Parts: sequence; C-alpha cells; structure tokens
Amino acid sequence: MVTTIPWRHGLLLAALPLIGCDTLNAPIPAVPPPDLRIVITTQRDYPTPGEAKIHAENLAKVPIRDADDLGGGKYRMVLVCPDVVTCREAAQRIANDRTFALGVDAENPTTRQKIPIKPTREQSR
Amino acid sequence: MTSLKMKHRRIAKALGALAVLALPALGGAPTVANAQGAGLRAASTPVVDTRHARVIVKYKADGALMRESTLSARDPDRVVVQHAARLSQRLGLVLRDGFMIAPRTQVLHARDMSSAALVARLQADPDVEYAEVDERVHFTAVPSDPRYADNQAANVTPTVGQWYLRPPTATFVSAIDAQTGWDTTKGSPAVVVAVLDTGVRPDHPDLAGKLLPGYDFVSADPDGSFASANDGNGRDADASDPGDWVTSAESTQANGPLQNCDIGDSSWHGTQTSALIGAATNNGVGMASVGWNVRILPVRVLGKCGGFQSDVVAGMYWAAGINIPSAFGTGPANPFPAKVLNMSLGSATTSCAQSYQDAMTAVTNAGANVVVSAGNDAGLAVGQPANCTGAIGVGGLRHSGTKVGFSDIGPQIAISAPAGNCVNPLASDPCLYPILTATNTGTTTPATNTYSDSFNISVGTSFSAPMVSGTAALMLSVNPTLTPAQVRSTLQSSARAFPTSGGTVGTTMCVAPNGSQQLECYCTTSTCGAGMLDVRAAVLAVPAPATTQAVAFATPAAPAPGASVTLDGSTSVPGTGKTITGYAWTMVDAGGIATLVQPATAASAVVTTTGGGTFSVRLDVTDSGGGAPASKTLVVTAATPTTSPPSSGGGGGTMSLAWLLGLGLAVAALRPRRR
Repeated sequence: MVTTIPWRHGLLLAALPLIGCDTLNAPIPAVPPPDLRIVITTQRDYPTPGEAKIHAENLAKVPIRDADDLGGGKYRMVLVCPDVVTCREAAQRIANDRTFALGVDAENPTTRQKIPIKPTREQSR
Repeated sequence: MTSLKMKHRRIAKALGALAVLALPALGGAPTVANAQGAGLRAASTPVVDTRHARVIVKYKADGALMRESTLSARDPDRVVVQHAARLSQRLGLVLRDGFMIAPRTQVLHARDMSSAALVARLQADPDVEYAEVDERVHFTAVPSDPRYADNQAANVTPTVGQWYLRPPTATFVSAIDAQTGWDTTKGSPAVVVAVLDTGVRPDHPDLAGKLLPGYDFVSADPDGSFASANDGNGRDADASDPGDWVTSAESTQANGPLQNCDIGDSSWHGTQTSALIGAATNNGVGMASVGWNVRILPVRVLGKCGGFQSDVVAGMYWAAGINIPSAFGTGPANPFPAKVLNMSLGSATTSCAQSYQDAMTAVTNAGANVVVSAGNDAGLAVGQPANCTGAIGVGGLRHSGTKVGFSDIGPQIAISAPAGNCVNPLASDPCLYPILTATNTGTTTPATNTYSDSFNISVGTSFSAPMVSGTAALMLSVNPTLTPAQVRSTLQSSARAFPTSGGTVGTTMCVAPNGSQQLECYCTTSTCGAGMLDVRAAVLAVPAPATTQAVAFATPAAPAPGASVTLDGSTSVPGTGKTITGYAWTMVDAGGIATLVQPATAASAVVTTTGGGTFSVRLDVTDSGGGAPASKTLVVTAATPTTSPPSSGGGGGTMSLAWLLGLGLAVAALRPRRR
C-alpha cells in the first residue's frame, strides 16, 4: 500500500524549485568543491563503469560520480570530497588495494593537455 | 617581323594545346603561378579508362611478326611496324594501329577494354618484347591554389607562399617537396587522418567537403561545468570549434575551472592543423595541403585551456576505430577509422602516462600511426605524448634546416619538418617564413574564415606534425598495407640529412636536453630525429603491396536520406608486378533503400537511395595476375546529421548538484513504502 504523509508533501514542494533549475540560471559556486578526477587502471575489466565505480567507492569512502570506461581496464571517475586532503586520501585508499587497482592517476588542471605554447618572435627567428 | 609574329603564334598554339592536354590532371586551367617550374611527368595514379585501351608495344626482333615484315628489308629496325590486323586475328580482339614511335615499337588501340587488360594480353604473346600502358602525361603537379605560389599577388603575405611544400632550394633547405611527391600520389580519399585538436571550422572553404563526421570528446570540468568545452555540453557528435579564448576574468577566478589558464584569443588550432593535412587542393581556392585528396576526421579533445588527458585518450581509441563502451557518451562506433592520428598537443610532463602509453600501443596495434608534435618549450625535453613509445614525434626546423628556436628536442623525436620562422624578431615586422594555413578572424567566437600570414602568424611544432601526418597518408595511399612500423622506418630512411652549415651566425650543434633552453642549433640525429622530412623520397620508397588491394570510398561519406552516392574504387592499388584489369560492384545489402545503378563495372559506381538507412556494397578488383579478385565492402549510412546530441561526461553542468539534490528529495518523498 502506497501512502504519503504531510511532511513528505512539504519535502516535495521544497524540492520542486531545485528540479526546475537549469544550467543557465544556476549560479557558478564561488568556491567549487575540490573534487578530484582520477583514472584507475584496474586489475580486470568490469562489465560497466558503474560496477568499477561501486568497487572504487567502497574503497575510497567518499562519493564518486561520472564513472567512464576508457578501455583497457581504465576507468575515469570523479571523487567528491569536501577538501583536497580528503580527496588525496581517498585516491590513496583505492591505490592501496592492489587486488582492485594497478594504478591511480590523478588529473587536475595543471596536467591539462594543451596546444603547444605559442612561441615568441624571438624564439621564432 | 611578320614571320616572328607567326612563330610566336605557333609557339603559343603549341603551348595552348599542351595546356589543354594537361587540363584533366589539373582540374582546371593552369594559372601563370602553377606553370612555374613545370616539367612533364607521367602521372603514376592515372585516371583508369576501361573502355579505350592505348598501349605501347615493342616486338621481338626475331619474332614471327618481325620476320614476316623484314623479308625484303636489310635492317629490321627501319621497317614500319603496323601489326594490329595480325594481332587482332591472333588474340581475338579488335585492334587499331597507332603511330610507330621507335624501332619495332608502335602504339595499339582497342575499344571496350582497359589499357592494363590489353597489356596483359600482349605480354603473353611470344612475339612481344614488352607492352606497357601509354600513360597520359601531365605537368608536374603544381596546384592551382593561389596562396601556394611564390611571389603571389600584391598585399598577400607571406610573399613566399607555401614555401614548405615545394622542392628544397638553397634558401628553403627544409622544404619537404610535397610538390614532386604529388607526381607519385595525390592521396586517396579512402585514407582517413584524424586530427585530435580543438575541432574545426567546418565552413572554411578549404575544409568544406574534406571533413568526415567527427566527434567531440571534451567533457565536463571537474566542477561539473562546461567552461572548457565552451559549447554548453559534453561529448557529442559536433566536432566544430566554438573558440577557445580565455578571458582575464576566467583566468583569475579563484578555484574557477579556468583558473591560471593562459589568457588569449581563440586559436582555431584544429582548423590550422587540419588544413595543412587535407585542405582542398588544386581547387583554385586558398591553400594546398600535403595530403591533397585525403580526408580529415575531426576529433575535438581540446577546449578552453586545453583538455584533460582522459578525453584525449578516449579520442585516440575512437579515432582508430577501437570501440569503447561507455555510459557517458564515448559515442557510436567510428565508421571512418583513421590510419593516421595527428596530435599537435601535449604537456610538459617528461614521462609518458600509463593511460597514454596504453592508448598509443592499442592504436598502433590497430594499424594506425600516431604523429605528435615535439612541443615549443625552446629546446627542453620532449613532453608527453610525443615521448610515448610508438609515437612519431616531430621536431621543428627553420627554413634553413636548423632547429627552430622554440622546438623541443630529444631522442624521442623521429623526424623533423618545417615549423615556421620569422627571422625578424619584432612583431611589427613581417614574419618571413611562417607556415601559411587556414584559420578564422574571430578573437572569441568564429567570425570570417581566412588564412594566416606574415602578421597573423602560425609557427610552432604544431604545424610540423601535420606535414608528417599528411606524408604518412600519402604513403598509405600508395600501399594501404603498410604497418605503423613500416611507415615510421620509411619516413626516417627517406629523410634528408640535416645541414651542418647555413644557420644564423654563431649557431652551434644541438646537445641533449639539459633543462636549459636551446634556441637555434644544428640538428643531430639524437636531438631532432632521423633527418628532414622528404615527401618525394618517402612516397617513392614505399613498395607496392604484395597483392592487389581494393580501395573504395563513398561521396558523400555520410549522405542525407534520399541522396545519390558515388562509390569510387579508382584508388585501388595493384599488387607488385600487376595491373588492374577490372572493377565490379555488387550490392550486398540494400537496406531497403538503395539501388546500384547498372552497369557497375567501372572504377566508379552510383547508388541511389530512397530514404534513411544503411546499405553495403562490395567492390571486386581483378588484376593481370588472374587470381581471385581483391574485395572491399563499403558500409554507408544515409542519415540526417546529428547536431544536438545529448550532453554527457560529467553531469549536468552547474545545475547538477542542486538538480540531483532536488531529484533525490522528490524521489524520497514519493517513494512507496511498506508498512
């Protein structure tokens, strides 16, 4: 039997404005969480990236989002953490389980792949 | 005076006739510019005419035919040979005599067969010393593109045009001589070069018609936004370049997704690199490209402030046709797997990340060549992914053949090619030897399509790599069976030696990277690769495949529902010592929409469609060896182009956390519960 009680109606009403948010209207947070994007090389392939994510989440002890299969037993996912230290520790916990992970590479803006830096005229003589 | 005028008229008439003969090869009237330095050569990729055979045949001096002809003559080499009638009887063909062109040598004509087929029949005759196709002769393949030429129109810079594609000279020591290479091959549209970059401007006149449907791999930033992607979404089928400008506000926003990124205007980098590889060539518009006829698969992996390694890696797999299942939009399988991946990108990391190395290994094992620019950190060690095993790292040269100041160096570099150099150090003075290429005038979003020049310059190893990629594509057009290892070794063995003189006064030898910058220096094989890229030598060094290879492509590659599709097998490659004698197209699966127009026994065929769907057609190519035909099956999908695919790769942008929270609360509120 399905029932709803008044306090749940209240919760639903409170939630509706949030559902209505869209990309354009939502403000960019002033200080986004220091989530860490990692690439895990796993011991074996998983049927779906979601299964790799569940395993990683159990080890990391933090929520994980956006698991993606890069092929060759590599899975990219984002650790959701309140601070940088927590993220690093979470990644380390994943890396420590050698039955699951062969390696964990962290990705951050400083390791972005870029167009080679534009040469100066002096270097272009 | 009058006789002199008449003489001039006769010369002009003769030249005019020669120009008319050359028209089919040039695809249009030759301009004054493209007549520069022209010589006569036989095209090695002739248009195959299967209905009119024309061959040159030489008879054996002691053969029956010559003995009959010379009964009353002292010298058999002075006898007029016209043996069409006798050979017609003997071979069961209808032959017609052509001119005698040399002792015991004449031209023979036949109808309703190819020259190659007639050659095969004649070669088997005991009276024939040799028979060969009477190939049409063309001017050396100088393209009609106006920006190609030296000393081009007033107010167009650089005045040296596309110096880097022409044969080397005392001034342009590092020029790659694509021009002579085009006499061997102008590239096959069946050879696909993937350009992993910022995407392309598909409306650029030199790229329109040369692009295959690519993919955009730029996913969400770590904060869930699409600031880097700059197109409002993640992975999708739209590989166009929306611009990659970075503002001061973006760069200084604390903890913002583009914090500390280099401030700058949009680069149109992917358009620039793509055009060097495959700009439409000999079309009287803009520029020429190394690859001439090859096609470009744009794979967008960089946005604002570059891109993430994982997106580049995903793009590599996809480009090579390795299908990776994904819940976040890796996309459909690539129907146009590339044999060459151009990656004018990287980071200063001097080791190769494992995920990069794995991708490099998988892609090369799949038969694709990965060409990567060395980097522009002025003589520091090569960064990744150029330093990964299997990558063809490309260093940058000045016009004089010395290492250009900005190019990185190291043993990981396989070969070097021109990267553009200015001589004049001041930006207010013209850059003398930039790498002219396609670009756009927009400083942020796209504006007018144009070309780089002496003031809006394009220099960098980013432009050296496409020259090698284009060359690799030409090599694969000559022999589609080449492995990546063979492509690399042939590029290297055919490269020209680096000069040891001619640099700027005071130039010294390059030394192994040591953490300090090294500007211009004389290249060595341990710092700049095997030598200077030489397109002519590279394509000539490619052996014919052991067996005949059927090669086919469709135009358009991705037709709209109901469109007609032209299938082309003319770039099929005969095996060693063989000639192609016939083509046959067969509908394998019409998909309920396709009809093959009959007869379908020429090098090209036409399929008409009645709607959307997929059909497949097989091409069988027979050769003079008489064995089983070589086959190639083309699968073509007629579909409405996808321009607004679903977003992916990192949630829903800035709304994601709030949206998920709201959704979670709503689900919790409505979730049925048991009592």
